Amino acid sequence: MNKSKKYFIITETALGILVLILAVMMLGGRDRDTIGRVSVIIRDSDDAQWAAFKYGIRKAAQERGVEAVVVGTESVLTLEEEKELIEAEIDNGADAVIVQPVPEQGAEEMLEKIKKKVPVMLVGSHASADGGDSALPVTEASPYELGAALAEEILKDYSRKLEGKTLGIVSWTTDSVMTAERMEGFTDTLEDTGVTVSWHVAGKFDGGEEAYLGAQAKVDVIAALDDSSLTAAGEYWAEENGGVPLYGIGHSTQAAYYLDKGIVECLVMPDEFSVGYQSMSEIANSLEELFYKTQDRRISYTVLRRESLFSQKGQEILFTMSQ
Amino acid sequence: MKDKLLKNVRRLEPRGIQSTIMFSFSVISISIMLILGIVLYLRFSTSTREETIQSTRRLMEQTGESLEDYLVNMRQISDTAYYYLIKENDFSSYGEDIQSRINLLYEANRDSLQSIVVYNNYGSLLAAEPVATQKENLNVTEQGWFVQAMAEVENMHFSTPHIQNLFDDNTFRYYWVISLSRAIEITRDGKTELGVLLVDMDYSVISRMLDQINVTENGQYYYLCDSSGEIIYHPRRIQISDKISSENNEIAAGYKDGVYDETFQGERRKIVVNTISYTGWKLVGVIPYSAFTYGMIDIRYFIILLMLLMLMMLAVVNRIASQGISRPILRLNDSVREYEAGEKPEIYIGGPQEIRHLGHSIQKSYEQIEELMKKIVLEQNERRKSELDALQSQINPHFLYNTLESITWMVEGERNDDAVFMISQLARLFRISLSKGRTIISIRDEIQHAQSYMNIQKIRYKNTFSIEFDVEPEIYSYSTVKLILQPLLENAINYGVSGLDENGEIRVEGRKEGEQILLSVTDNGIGMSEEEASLVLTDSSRIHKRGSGVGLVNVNRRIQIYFGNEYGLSIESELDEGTRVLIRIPAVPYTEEGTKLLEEGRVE
Repeated sequence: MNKSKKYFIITETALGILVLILAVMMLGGRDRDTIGRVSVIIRDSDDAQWAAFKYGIRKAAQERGVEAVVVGTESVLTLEEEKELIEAEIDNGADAVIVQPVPEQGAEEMLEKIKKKVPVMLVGSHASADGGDSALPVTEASPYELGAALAEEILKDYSRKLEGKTLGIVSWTTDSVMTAERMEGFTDTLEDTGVTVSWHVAGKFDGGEEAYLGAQAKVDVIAALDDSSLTAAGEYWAEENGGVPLYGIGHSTQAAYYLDKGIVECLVMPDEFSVGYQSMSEIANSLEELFYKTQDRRISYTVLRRESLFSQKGQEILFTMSQ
Repeated sequence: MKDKLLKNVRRLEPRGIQSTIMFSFSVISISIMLILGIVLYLRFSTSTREETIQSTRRLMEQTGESLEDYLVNMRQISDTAYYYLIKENDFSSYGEDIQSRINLLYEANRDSLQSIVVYNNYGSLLAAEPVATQKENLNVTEQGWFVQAMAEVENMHFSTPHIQNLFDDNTFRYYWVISLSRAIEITRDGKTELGVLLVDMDYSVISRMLDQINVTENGQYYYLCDSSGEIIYHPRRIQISDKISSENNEIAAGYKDGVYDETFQGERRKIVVNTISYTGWKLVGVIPYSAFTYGMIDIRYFIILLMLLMLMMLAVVNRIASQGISRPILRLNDSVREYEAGEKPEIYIGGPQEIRHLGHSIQKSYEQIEELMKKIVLEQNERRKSELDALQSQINPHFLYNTLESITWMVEGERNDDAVFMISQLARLFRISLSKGRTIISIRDEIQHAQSYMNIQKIRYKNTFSIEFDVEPEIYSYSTVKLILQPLLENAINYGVSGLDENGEIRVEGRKEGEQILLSVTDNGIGMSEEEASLVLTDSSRIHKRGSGVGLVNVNRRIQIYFGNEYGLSIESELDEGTRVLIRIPAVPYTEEGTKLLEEGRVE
């Protein structure tokens, strides 16, 4: 083979390889519309409390080119059900999942296994049953800080004089890490104030508020540690025409409504829009970059009073919850 | 350094004709393609940019018109409620009637309306549609829309979006509205008082309008702000509020309608501003520069792909073209190389007409060269042969033997003077014969050689013939090939006068005629027929019966070898009358240089 023919073949081969690379790049570019599909699995997904969260998910997904699917769920979700849901979503083509872990033993192990297949982001609470550090990334407002903030507002209203006062606590569950940490933050702040916790009621009341709350001893202050329990307590007290000052952590328009009505004295409101937005952004990062390590995202919270509900900030929060 | 660079560049220069053609074609075609590609791309991107801006403007104008229509509709509702329902009637007596008419108005526009409410100047609710319970402990006089309406009673006021904080409908819902408020005159019990008419527009109507145009994926978006820059709609409203994102809305609110360039947070972008009538709101379209190239990436890939494919094709075409052009030249070159290497190939004749002509010319040249070479070799051979013949004639053993015999005979007869004469003539004969190895001598020497020869022969033939030299002294200094007279004289003796008893005469003449020297040997011998005379110069086989064996043919050929074919011998003879042999040579002066040139056979 002479020199000229050799150069010719080398040139043609090099050009051919370049053409192939470009063609692959062009075809790859056509599929740029979405960077992946993300399934969101949260308990009672149609509940109003998730409105701002889902709005955040939708906005981030729109910005980052992610196809987001919020899986329909019931108000009660077991570990096994959650596992089946996640696996079904992965089988259906989910490239990542955003999960609110169920408050059960074994949730962390189950999610660790899932994480080996697809990126996982937890919302609302981390999955470690004992409250220790988890390898799974989580997007949440610090539950301890929320509990502490709630206690602080009570202290403010009573000018930090709670000596001899009695306190009732309501929460959705006592098992979840989130409730435990909020409780810890709450009680730590009220420690040495002389307040007595008369009772702690937990449950998904579902119209049985009377049975739960009506049966409890009369207290000076009631604190609700989550949105479900706050709205249930608000509903009960709305029917009872008030009575006991109610403080709570909530993020639904219903909770805001009870604040507006004066049934709830103070509302500590985690920025659920940011939970949805930030968790989806973090997951989008992990989908875009092969070796991206998803990280915890810490979300802020807002303390709302009746008079500040229609402030600029309050209105923005209501806007996200009304979407 | 520069020299080194130049050397390296030169090393890259193609050497072969095919490489040169291929290289030139490639450089030209790549340059043209690059220029074409870049120009096309620039032209295309410019027109795409203009088109994007124009389509954004058109879209914004349409959306602006829709927004204006909506706002006009709201104004008309407000006007209708005020001028036809409220102003015309006394609330004390026609309160229910007003309410029902407002209800009709509301129902007709409920898709775009949240509520129509009438307050008196103390903030007391007079009428509301849809009918709902007002919140307890509500002081509407502190709300922005009320304050604005009462502050400028002659105007209508559009608020920025806010949560409606008026009614409690037990649905746990909060409505996002834009309030259109105006101060109104209310008649109650015949007395006129100020009040406020509030038309709360459903924000979702506006947000839907703008959501519909905020669907592009290239980063382009639209937002709406009021004249002070406060955001009414923005696709990233909450992110901006949460400080996750930001917008240059306060600056944009100061722009008049048009297209502007700005750099915001390090990003260059085009801003298209359209003002909405009645409100002074600004509809702002933001086109980041990256949006112009968003759709162009595929075009870029496509153009590069096209160029690469064209390059591949051009490489093939260039190769075929360069091969087509260069192959005949290369084949011709190869055949010439083979020829130079000593082989005897057929010179390639093919390809285009010019190359064929070249091939023919080279072929012809080579043939001529070969022919000339053969001729030269032949001449050289002949020259060597003739010189050998001449040499042989000088040492003809018979001649030498006879001469020496005559000398012996003279010495024995004590004719010492004659013997001395004979020996001196013989010595002179040989000296001139040798002439230091030269072939060209002066005519003087040639004549002297002839004289010496004839002196010897006369003694040998006992003066049976006479010899006469009539040579013009003028020609002595011209050149001649040596030993051309001696064979003629030998022939004259042998064939001419030897047969005569006495009165044999041989005459040698020499003269210059024009640019030629004419030498002749004439005898009065037996002569020959015309036919025989014509054969003397052509048939060499019949000459050597007597004499030195160096025939006239040899003399003639030697003259022609050195001086050319136009020179040589001519014979005139007649039976019983005698023969005259004429030598014709050019008049070349006998000089060192002239002799050398003649020796090398290069005289013209």
